[in-house]
Amino acid sequence: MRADMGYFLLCVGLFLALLIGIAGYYYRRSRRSSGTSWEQLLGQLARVDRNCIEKIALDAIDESGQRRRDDAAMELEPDEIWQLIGGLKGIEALEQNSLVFIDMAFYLQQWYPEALVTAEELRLNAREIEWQVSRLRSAEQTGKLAVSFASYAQNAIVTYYIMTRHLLDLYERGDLSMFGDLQKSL
Amino acid sequence: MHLTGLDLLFWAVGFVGHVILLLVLWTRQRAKTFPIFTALVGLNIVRTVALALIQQYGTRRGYFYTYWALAILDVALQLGVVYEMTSLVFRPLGKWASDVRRGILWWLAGSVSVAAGLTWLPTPPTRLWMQVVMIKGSFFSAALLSELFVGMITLSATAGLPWKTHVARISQALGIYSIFTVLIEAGSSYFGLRSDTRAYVELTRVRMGLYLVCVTYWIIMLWRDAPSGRVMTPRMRRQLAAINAGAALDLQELRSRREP
Amino acid sequence: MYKHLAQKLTLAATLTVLSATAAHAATSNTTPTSTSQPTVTPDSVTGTDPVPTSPDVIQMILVFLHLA
Repeated sequence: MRADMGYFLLCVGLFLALLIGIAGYYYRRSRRSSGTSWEQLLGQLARVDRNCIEKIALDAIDESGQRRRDDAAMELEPDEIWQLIGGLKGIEALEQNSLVFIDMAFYLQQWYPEALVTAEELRLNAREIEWQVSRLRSAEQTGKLAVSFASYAQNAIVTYYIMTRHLLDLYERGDLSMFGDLQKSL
Repeated sequence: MHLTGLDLLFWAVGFVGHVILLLVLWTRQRAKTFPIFTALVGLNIVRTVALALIQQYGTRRGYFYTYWALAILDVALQLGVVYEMTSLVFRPLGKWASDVRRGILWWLAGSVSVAAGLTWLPTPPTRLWMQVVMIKGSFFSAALLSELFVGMITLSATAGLPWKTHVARISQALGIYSIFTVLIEAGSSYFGLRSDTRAYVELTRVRMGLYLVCVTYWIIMLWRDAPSGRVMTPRMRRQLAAINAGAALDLQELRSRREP
Repeated sequence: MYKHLAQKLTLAATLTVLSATAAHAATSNTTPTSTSQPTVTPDSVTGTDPVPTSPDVIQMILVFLHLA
């Protein structure tokens, strides 16, 4: 019975330590996001060749963001997309920027309640990119990257392009001193 | 039932604290945003009044049944508060955010499973099987509530969803209180502590003291206004008009690049 | 589908917690002859109300069995 009690206490202790540790980690992470300045967020953006992004995205969508149905749509081959974006590292740079975009939308939502709808749209797009990159990583581990890359990568890039257009639009309507810097980074 | 001066002091301070908190919720218009939390505070006031009257004029059995009946309602309302906070965090546009629905389901299922697994570990030192069920059930509710609050913090941080100030304040205090009650439940129930032992009495007083700290925290934080958003100045509005014109030119350029 | 599943899970968790608390309320770890009756209580309840000592456990068990 004493051994049982000791075992139970150990489990409860581990459970509580885990709960407190997890709560503390994620609480600090969210506080870091809310305390970050605009300049710090900009500094976290990885350099991405915007012309390549635009070329890949506009192969699949038109300027309004709708899927293209014309004969000239989806002409880029997987190899070409791979070259343009810089391989898996390029996709991961998009993912990194998406996480920064989530923080930016979070920042706007806190200080500009009127930006709620667009910020939420941005957040959802960034999360979609995260998901698509995770699928690509799984495909790489199972050796099916070549098959998966074309559809997931292009979808991720299209989502990234639409998201960055929305983010620029959002900052136009908000704090405009930041607009010029954001445009240069993206 | 013999009550010491300290028991009566806790009782009275708790009552006064709940009344002040309810007044804050009504006068500062927080009750509309947090109806379930307001109901929990109201329940505490009603319970204290009822129990005080029964303690004075009723029987021990009456006190016992009233306490337990309202305790069941209390736990239900705490679960309701978790739902209320979750709803305010994960429904920014009035409907559940699509990227967190699956996460919420996993979080619920995981919380119930872990709490159940932890609860079923050892058998407490009691004679009746019904007592075993009761002790385990009590521990289960404490573990579940604490997991639900921590899960909320985790999910919102990974999804990038901010917490409004007052939601954060209510959840933080209730979450810390829930985690602490797990510790007390483990100590008192599984070591077979009885209510006449000094250790149990002290643990209960620490719990009540912590709860009074939470009530004080809520009174102060819910009285204060949340930070207000920024407003665009007339100069910013003029700049916006200029930038809109620039954006129209950019779009034209995009179209011209696409043409063969 | 997810909404219904979430509702069912939440209802199941709520019923489990409530029935456990209700069962807890029905009996307690007591000795009828003791003047200071030991009681097991749910410490997850809010508030600072004094924890009650239970009535005669034999009578309560009989009431509980009768209800069952």
